[in-house]
Amino acid sequence: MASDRTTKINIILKETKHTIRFVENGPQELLVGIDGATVPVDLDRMVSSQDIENRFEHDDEFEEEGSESKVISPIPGVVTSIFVKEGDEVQSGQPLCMILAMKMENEITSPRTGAIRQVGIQSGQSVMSGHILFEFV
Amino acid sequence: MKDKIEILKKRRVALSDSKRTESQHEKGRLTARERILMLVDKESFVELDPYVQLRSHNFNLQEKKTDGDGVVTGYGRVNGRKVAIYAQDATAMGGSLGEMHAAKIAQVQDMAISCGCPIIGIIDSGGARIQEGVNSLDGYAEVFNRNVRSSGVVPQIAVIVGPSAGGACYSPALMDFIFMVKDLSYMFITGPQVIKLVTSEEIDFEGLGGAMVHNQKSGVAHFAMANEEGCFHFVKKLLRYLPSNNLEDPPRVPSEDPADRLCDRILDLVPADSTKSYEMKDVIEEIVDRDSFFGLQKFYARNVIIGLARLDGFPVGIVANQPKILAGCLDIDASDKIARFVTFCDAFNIPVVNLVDVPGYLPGVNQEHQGIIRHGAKILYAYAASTIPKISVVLRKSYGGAYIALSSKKMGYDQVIAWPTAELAVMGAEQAVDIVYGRELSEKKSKRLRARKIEEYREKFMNPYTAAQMGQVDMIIDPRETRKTLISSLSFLRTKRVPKVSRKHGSMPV
Repeated sequence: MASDRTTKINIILKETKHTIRFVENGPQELLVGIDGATVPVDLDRMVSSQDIENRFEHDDEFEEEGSESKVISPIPGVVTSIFVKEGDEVQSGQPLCMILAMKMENEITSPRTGAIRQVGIQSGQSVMSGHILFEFV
Repeated sequence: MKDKIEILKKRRVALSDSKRTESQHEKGRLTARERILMLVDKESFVELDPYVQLRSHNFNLQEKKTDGDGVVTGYGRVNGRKVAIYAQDATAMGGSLGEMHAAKIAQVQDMAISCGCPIIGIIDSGGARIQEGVNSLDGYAEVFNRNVRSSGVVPQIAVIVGPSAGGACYSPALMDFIFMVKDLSYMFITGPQVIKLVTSEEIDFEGLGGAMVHNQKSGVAHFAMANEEGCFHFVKKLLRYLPSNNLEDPPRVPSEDPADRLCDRILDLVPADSTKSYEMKDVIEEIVDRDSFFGLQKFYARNVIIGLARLDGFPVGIVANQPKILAGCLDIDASDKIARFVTFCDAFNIPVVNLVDVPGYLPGVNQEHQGIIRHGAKILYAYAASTIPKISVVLRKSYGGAYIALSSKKMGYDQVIAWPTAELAVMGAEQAVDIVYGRELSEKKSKRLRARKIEEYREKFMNPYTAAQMGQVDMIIDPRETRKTLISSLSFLRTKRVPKVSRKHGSMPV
């Protein structure tokens, strides 16, 4: 998008030509573009706004570790495979079983870290939503 | 003259009372003015009504009165664009809302409507000022009324950085976006003490109305942030996608990502076997301008993804099924999430692109009894009522009622684009055969016959060509051409105009 707000610099890195574009996008923001990527820079702070935003976006931090004593089926379907057995220690997020439901394989993952006390299903079994699949110790 | 200017200076300095500032900092919180300054461009904030004071003398209230009456209001600029702002000051009578406090908020709300700029409310308030009696409740009414009148005229953003209890919840609830901070913001109609008294349920503030409760369970909030500072950066980010008002188009940001880029990664991301799931977010990110996808309500109804993104620099709203969660089905919460988002996009001229891979509405007694019929109807209503450019891309499955809602051209989509893997059908092959040939199959008890019928059904419907024959699919494309196709379609549709029959407004099923 060439306009009078754009400044271009051509550079050669490792024998390849690259064009760096600087676009003034409002009084507080400068866009720096190179090879398909655009990085917005906050002119007040002279840092990439994307970097600032990334600093605050920690999805994982918000994935709260559950304290549930059991795992229930979120959907009615048929259990196609079970990956853990009684007594297994599992990590939060670890796949526990697969439920075929709504023409799709749904992977059921562990909401928490802990040991499996009881497996409430068998392979091939039909389950309703709310069915207790696993109980923790 | 000079002595009077001196007096003014002193009164100005006194507005930021150092003792009150310290008390807020000790709690690890920012003051109302600091919060505003984090959001607006340098030197751009103009404060209004700083000397307004409360008028009530009930319960010796005059002894507690402060300049500004517990709220800082005014206007400023965010990256050069106008915004109206108010920030409640928890250090002045707990940020409680009284008559004059409300009148100050109402004034900036009116300015936002008349000048056509977004309004940002920074909420940190103990609720209605009890000593002012019904005047404080009327104050809320004044604010709510303007929230509703602003809806669809200017974007309204609420940043909750403290308590927002009782009636105070409804102003943010009437706005477009709510930000909450973990371990800092709380929203509830009745607090833990009252709940314990009435129902003997015991629960703490965070568990009752904290950031994650409203981002995950209730769907009230749109963003969960780790701290206050994060909120203000994200408000700025959000504003970059939005027009200042309903008469403007959303701002284009020059893009370095080539408009004709082929999405080669799609072939690795999406399994050909339609029973295998995948991460839809990766597909979205492959299609839109690099790094431009901005997800909303990420923790709520995760079976659908909604968010803002850019295509060739132009903002678009993305609605996509998430096959990884509940098979990407539509359910009550997903319906609410989609309907509200589409309505918002429509109000602010943001085109919507659907990425469809949906086996249907989620079956279940609970869903039926909770009213999936009326909630599901909202999606239909929102799409059919909207006049923005709407494009539906069918990746794999699009079955039944969900097909109608998300990809039927007759629902009002300007373009329906299918991948060669698309299956547009009333239901999956096996279920369909069991119903259509039910009697025949139970009489003959032939597995081979059933298998043959399933294969026939698959050949007939489990492809995009049957629907394309009827003109219900406009284009069948190589998935790698999705970005390129969307950009050229949207560019053509940008001048779309829809004549409307005059009516007050429809009656959305809620």
